[in-house]
Amino acid sequence: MINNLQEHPEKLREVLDKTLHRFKNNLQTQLSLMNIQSASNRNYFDDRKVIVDRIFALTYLYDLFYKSNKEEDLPTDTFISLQSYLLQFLQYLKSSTSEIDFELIDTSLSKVEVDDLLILAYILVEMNDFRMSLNDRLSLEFGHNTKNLSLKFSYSSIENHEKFYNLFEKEFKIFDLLVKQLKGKFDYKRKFVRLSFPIL
Amino acid sequence: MKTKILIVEDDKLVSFEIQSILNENGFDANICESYNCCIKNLDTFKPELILLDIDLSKKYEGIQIGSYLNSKSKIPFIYITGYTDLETIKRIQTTKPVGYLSKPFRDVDIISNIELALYNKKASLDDTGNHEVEEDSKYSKPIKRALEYIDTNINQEIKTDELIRVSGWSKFHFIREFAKEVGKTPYQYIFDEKMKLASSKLKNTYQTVKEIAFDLGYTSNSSFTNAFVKHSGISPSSFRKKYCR
Repeated sequence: MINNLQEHPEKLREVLDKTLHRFKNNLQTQLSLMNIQSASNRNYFDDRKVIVDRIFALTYLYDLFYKSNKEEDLPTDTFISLQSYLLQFLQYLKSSTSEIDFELIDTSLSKVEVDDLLILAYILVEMNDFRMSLNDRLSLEFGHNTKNLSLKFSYSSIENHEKFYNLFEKEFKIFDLLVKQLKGKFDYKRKFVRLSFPIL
Repeated sequence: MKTKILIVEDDKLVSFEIQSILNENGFDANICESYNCCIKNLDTFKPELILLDIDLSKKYEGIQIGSYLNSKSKIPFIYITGYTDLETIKRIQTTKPVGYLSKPFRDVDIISNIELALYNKKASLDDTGNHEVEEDSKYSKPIKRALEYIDTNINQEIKTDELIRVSGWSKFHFIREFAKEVGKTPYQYIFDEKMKLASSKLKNTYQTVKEIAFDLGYTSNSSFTNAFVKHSGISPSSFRKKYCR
């Protein structure tokens, strides 16, 4: 990408403009999440950790996005590897707890739009805060087909996940908005909740 | 009654946040995520002000709505965007927004922008009231009705018979008076207005030529292209290349 930019300086301006735009939008999302938190009286188990985790979600995402484009031509799309990102971010979450298990089933070829991946990371941060409030163990299973990505999640202390919404009704607003932003939907089953959303 | 504000934004977190801020400050706020929803809400929700995201659906659709609002309605609108480069600012200025809100923003930025826009709207309505007396004397009432009809229906095929009906005059009297007061025939006036709107859309939006043709009431791409060439001397796509990057 660097060589390409040197040959086409006009593209440098375009890349910088897009980066600045992305940067401002991400700051806006962080502010929106904080403002919705106070407007909806959302009480996190650990506010500070939630904010730190969101910042690291952003950091890992852009590390990967810019690194993966470094040796290539100018980025023609904004998709990045789902598996690479999730491995990094879930390892980060696991570094402060041993109570998260995850499985990535056949996601090696799957690429997801960078903004959607960030929202998915924010959803994981919400799930982890639910876990901490329950003092529980969280299991995650990612899978995908050509059109959809699915994430099955379950908490070991919840016997029937069909009642998941009732359990977190007061804390649900941000979680629900994030899922809607992905155009995703919940599927409540006894043993797990499945979140699925379209990709590509 | 609460002042109605329409939020046109496809980021659900941002739109919900703005709605919460507006509700807390005594406004009645509704959310739309698309061009179609916004146009529909102009009639159903009847907003007094619109907050408009520029990069709707990642296609600059907000500028299309801005362009539509500028040409078709008197509802003031404020753009919300993370774009602050000169080129984007120049582009959005042509659609005449009343304000520009740069992301990230605070509660106070939204409220002060809205209050200022509503104050200016009121002041300009008072001013328009005074000007209308002058406008009234510029055109006779039947011609004014015909011009309003053209303005409202510019995106459809407008037949002279309809204009005659709206004016309430006879055919020959209407055509003679229209040319005398407006300075051109009804056909030429409609044609010029359509081409003016087409030029603005080509410059300020990413709508395809086909979409613009359809929006202006042309049934085929080629009839629109022929009309545009006749008016501007170049094809719509050459015009766009010439005036846009």
